[in-house]
Amino acid sequence: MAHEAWSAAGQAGVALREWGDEWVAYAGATGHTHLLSAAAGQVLSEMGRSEQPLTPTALLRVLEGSPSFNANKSVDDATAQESMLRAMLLELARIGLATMRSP
Amino acid sequence: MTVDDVRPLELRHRLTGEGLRLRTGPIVTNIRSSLAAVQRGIALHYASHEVEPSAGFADFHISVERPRTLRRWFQPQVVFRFDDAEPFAPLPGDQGFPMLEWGLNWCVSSHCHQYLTIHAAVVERAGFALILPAPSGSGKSTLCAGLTFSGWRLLSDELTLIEPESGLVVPLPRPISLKNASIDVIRAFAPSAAFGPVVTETTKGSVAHVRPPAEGVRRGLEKATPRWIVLPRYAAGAPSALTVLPKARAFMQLAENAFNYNVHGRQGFDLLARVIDGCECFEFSYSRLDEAVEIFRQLCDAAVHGLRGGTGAARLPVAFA
Repeated sequence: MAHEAWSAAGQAGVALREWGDEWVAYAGATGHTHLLSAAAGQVLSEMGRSEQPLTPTALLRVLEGSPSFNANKSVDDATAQESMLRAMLLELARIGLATMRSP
Repeated sequence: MTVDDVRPLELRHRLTGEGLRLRTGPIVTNIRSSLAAVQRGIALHYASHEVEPSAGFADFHISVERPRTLRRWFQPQVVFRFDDAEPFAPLPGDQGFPMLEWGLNWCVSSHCHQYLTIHAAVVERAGFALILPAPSGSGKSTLCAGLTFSGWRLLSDELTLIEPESGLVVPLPRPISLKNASIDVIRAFAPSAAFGPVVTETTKGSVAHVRPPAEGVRRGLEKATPRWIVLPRYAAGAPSALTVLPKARAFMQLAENAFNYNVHGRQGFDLLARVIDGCECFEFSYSRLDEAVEIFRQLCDAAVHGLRGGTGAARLPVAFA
């Protein structure tokens, strides 16, 4: 997992809007629109801003200071956090909003 | 020239001949029908609508007639034709006018992709559009009719057309379709409203149409700025309650109620986002139409007097218990 890197699926193919603590994302690859939690929106937003794919560890670091991400954090253990993040990334990939690149 | 200006014999002649070219907002439809009930319905409900010259352009060519089978002589039915195709199964013979209305809705929602088309009623006041997206049975048309006969301008009771370039709502003023109990509710609420006959045993139950007020029809090309998105829900005996709907959820509701959101792709997403940005979004449950009308009057007055911003999210200072 440490070698995985993630990015928003085909950057031009994802559109993202935030209102309050919820986000809406358009997946150009599928044409579908999804309602996202604050944490998922923040993750996708960070991937969209980054020029390089981000590892889960890097994403966690970026998101450390994010109140919306931390508000949803129910466990302190770093491994568990990374596991939660990975589950979120896999779900974003499944709905066409994120892609994983293996080295 | 409006339908009302056309003499009854001439109206019948056009409908049974080349067709009547009727303007509803930006749409011109060439309508043909030899059915007396359809002719009467058009004369009543479209009295104030403009009639376009026969030689002019028409967006749609439709007709409502008896089927071309022996069945026309027993248990008569009606069929809707669109460019001579029959996109729907025939309906019982007394449902000619409702079928015309449902067919017109289908024409617009299936073909007018120059607009983002949302399954929603929409009314206007002071230049601001109140969009009411909701499924059938939610009380959408009842609320729309109540507002229409209380100082709001009817833009549409079924289809909200949003112009991509401007983000404005384009009017499509046509008869309001009421169903079942809402027919008597509006009869009592607006005694001056012009009703057509009640048609029973349709797939939607009993249906009656109400003529749109002439003023709204005359202003059929005057667009409005989306200002409120309200998801109505009629609940018998429930107090009127207007509660804030998070904007992201309002976005999803609009997208799910749009007929052609997918056709517009990314531009549709950006357009809806722009609409949501400029609107206050609410859920609204009600059982009393007079209370509902008062709440929306206050909502509009507050906007007109600058008491509420376009992105406000606070609860209204009105409540009915």
